[in-house]
Amino acid sequence: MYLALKEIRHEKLRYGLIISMVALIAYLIFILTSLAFGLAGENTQAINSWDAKSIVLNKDSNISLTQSLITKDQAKDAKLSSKEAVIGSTLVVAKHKGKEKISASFIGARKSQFIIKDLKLTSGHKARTNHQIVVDEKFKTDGYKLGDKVTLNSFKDKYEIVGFTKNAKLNVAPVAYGTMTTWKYLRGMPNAPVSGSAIVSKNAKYNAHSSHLKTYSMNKFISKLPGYSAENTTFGFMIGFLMIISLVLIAVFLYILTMQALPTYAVLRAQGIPARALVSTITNQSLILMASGVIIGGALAAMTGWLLPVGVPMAFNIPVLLWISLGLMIMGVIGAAIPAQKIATVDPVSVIGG
Amino acid sequence: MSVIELKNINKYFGTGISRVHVLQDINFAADRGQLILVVGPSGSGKSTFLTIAGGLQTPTSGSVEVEGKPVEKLSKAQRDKLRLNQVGFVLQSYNLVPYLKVREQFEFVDKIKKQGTLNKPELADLLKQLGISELVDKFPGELSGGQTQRVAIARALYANPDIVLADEPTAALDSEKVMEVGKLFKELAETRNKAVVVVTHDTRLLEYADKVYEIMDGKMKSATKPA
Repeated sequence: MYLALKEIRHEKLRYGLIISMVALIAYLIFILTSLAFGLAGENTQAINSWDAKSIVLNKDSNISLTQSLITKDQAKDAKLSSKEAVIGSTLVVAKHKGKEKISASFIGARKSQFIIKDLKLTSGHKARTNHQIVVDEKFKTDGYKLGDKVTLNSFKDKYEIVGFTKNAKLNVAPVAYGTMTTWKYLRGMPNAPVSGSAIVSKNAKYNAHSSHLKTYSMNKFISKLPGYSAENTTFGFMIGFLMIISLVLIAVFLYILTMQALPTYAVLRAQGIPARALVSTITNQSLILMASGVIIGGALAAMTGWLLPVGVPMAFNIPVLLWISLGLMIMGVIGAAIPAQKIATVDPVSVIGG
Repeated sequence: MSVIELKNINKYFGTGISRVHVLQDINFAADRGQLILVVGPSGSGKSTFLTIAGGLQTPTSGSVEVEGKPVEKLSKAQRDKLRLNQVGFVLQSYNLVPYLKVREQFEFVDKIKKQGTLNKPELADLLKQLGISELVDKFPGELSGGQTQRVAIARALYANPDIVLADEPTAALDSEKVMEVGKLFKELAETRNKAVVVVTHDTRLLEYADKVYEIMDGKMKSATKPA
């Protein structure tokens, strides 16, 4: 550690530059990871708040909530317990004079079932009539308030916002919770023998007892949300490549420095300094560089999170970011392996000339 | 008993028709308190002799003994230890770690060798003897050639070795400095009771030597005492 610290202190500019590069890479990784988590969260917030383990959809719906319909007979055969709830889902555009239109996901549910029973409000009350809705706080951010009467899609009926709820987004759109009757009306089939779009259950192995319905795990359902997997895979690739870039960067940098300092290492070996001590110098240097870069990158990411507007979907998942930091440190150690091998095998005879 | 003794050393490099007999039946001995020169032209085998004497290479045949113990029987780690504790190297260039101040060069030795180095008053005395007491807060890059060489000598002696092996220590110095270094090595050998072995082609150092070995085409002539 002694030599590692002394060299870094002596070569401030050189090491400052590499720390800056590591910091920028770490910053980018932290921001991308937080964005990935933020966006993933906006896809699944509402689902997560239900705390359901499985979902039953029409087997021909292509695992799409909005494409699925469950008939009254099927719902009757499904033998619902307190762990199951029927939901109806449709996409709507909420409008209010003088305010921005909001694309939302309307979820119709029964008051007696856990979706509505467990719904936590930040203000107001739950929907008591077919013309009342509870909406995600995104509406509040966009200027909507309790008592506002909005129209949904092209229907003339007005729906009063009677409550706000937090973290209720589905597929990035804010959710508007209302009654099942309203959902049927919005789907244009008020009198059809339809029960809902899906049955969600807290039981992972729930069986709906119908050949037309199929039970999916919530994870499977989430992975099939439009764009969800593609988005996560893209972020995963970007983060993975940045990790590899950090590995290559540290390896190349330390390799060049080591090659330049090889005669000095050879002298030290000639003087009887054990190879182990010199190898630990390069490994420690790498760890110091990575740790400094990660700390600076983390601080920059935190500052960015603080400065960004509320609407930017960033979620700082501290345990995940700590694991990523550890990953970067490991990359640093791997990156130091090649120069360390050069040092370990340096021939002290090479500095005895003439 | 000599501090270091080389007996019938032979060293070959290469194989087949490119095999070269670099050192041929070398016999050498150095005692404490003596400055011994090994002189010879470039390519004569001086450096190979030095690396074998310092335990950096093993001879093809023959034996190297330090304080009566055969070096070739030591493991790599044991030879590292031997060089750290009993052999001090003063090399032509790159003697010092460029990013360590003079005093840190000694601190670094302390980090590796936990005991047996000079204590503070002894170091102060050595630096005074070498005339470099004022340079302790300077980096090697801030020193002149002569000062760098003196610091390198101090660094080699700080670990308190029995033997100091110097490789062309006057290569980059002018005549005046060569005389200074010669005088200094002689003084260090006598006052500190070390065996100082200097490998050189610089004949200006001859007048300070207690013994001179001449090496030519891998063959060493018996020791002579300069007139």
